[in-house]
Amino acid sequence: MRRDLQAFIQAVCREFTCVSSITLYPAAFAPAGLLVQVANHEKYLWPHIVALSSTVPPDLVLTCIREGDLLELWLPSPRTFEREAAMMLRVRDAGALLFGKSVNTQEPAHFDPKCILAAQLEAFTHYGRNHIVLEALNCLNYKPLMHTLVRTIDSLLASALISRGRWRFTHNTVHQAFSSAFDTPTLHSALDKLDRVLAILSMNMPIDRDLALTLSFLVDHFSAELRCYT
Amino acid sequence: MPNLGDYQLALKMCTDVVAGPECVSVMLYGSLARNLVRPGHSDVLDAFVVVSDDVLRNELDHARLIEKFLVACASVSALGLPFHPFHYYGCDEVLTYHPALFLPTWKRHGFSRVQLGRDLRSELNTTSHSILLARAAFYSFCRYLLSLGHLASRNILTPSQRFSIIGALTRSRKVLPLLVCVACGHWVEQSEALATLPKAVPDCDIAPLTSFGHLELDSLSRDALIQILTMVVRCTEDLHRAVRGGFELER
Repeated sequence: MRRDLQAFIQAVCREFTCVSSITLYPAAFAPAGLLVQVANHEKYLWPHIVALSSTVPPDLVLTCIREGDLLELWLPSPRTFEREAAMMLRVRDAGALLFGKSVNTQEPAHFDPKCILAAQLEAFTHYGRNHIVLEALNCLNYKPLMHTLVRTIDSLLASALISRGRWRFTHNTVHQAFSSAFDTPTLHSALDKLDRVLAILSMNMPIDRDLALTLSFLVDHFSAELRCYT
Repeated sequence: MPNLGDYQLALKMCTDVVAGPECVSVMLYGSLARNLVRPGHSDVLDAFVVVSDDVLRNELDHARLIEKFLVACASVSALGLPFHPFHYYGCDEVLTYHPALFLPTWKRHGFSRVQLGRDLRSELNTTSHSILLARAAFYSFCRYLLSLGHLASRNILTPSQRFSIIGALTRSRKVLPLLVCVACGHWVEQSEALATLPKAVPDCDIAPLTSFGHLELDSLSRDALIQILTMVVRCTEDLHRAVRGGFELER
């Protein structure tokens, strides 16, 4: 095991009176994560998380939760889906237990993977259109806008895949995985148009207002096409 | 110093620009809708512009629409008021998929106003997914705050780290009471949330959420920011314990 992980495990065990488990899990678009599960009697997690922060390996992200709150990780989240929604699937199917007993990864009755896609679509329609698209265009921030829209596309593709129970994709394979999982011609056509713009972006061409407007439309259009899968 | 007239002017400028055959409705929420504008503090423009669905489906029409919206944004932001762009929806979208968290704003009397076009408020609808998302948002917010723990241990904060903390505190002040209420099943309007908290979580001390409302967070030192963040997260952890009883997750 990596030395920094060993040091982290020791620090966690010193910090909390009772640690149930420490699990390392992979992620597609973000750094991999460490899920630390502690006993329910730990009243405040904040001081422990602050104390542990210097020992968390820099390439990993820490999530700390009480055993009794584990089901919360299955709930939909308006935040970036990758860390939240797929976490339990990744812990369940690809997690490496570093310490303690296995995490209970049984899906709760309320878990509906379609809700993850619905959450992403709501986030884009309600916050993305005005706070990302209009705000960036209004401030002529075309490059950051394109960057955010590319991440939005990845999130939409990934959440659509997760809504069908598929999470085994990486940043490089998510487009292909989506194409094979969804065979609707309208979705394929929308994705093809998106991919053509992404290809232009990958050539480091200058980004102008027209390109920003085109990509904004295509993301909007693609998200509308995905609605029928929620 | 901005005055009430500037806000009325902003509203008029915006509605004049967005008006047109494709515009179905302009609906206001927030302080402008409730006639509670605090010049210089209230932001513009808390509004929903609803357009016909066809416009969002055609690339050329969409581009024209966005250009039009940008003209409205540019003229309003030039007034120097605290500004954020308005929401925009297709008519079918807003009638079917409106975010559940904000439905009380439109359904309850006195929190919204129709500025232009059709009054769609009684027709707005949401989905079971959106209802679950709204009720679950509090838990996600708790994890978001806890994820800032790595910043609290730093002796020096970079500008982007300060920005993250100030953003978290601002959001805590603004939306946390609403998220707690909704998680407990109290579907209130955002402006009612703080007053509803004692009913939703009777044994919690919520004073920390209001204690820094008068402070200019941008001007605070690193120590002061971390102190407030710690206080808010601690309060949120107390709320979390109380809310768990209010929204029992199915097992």
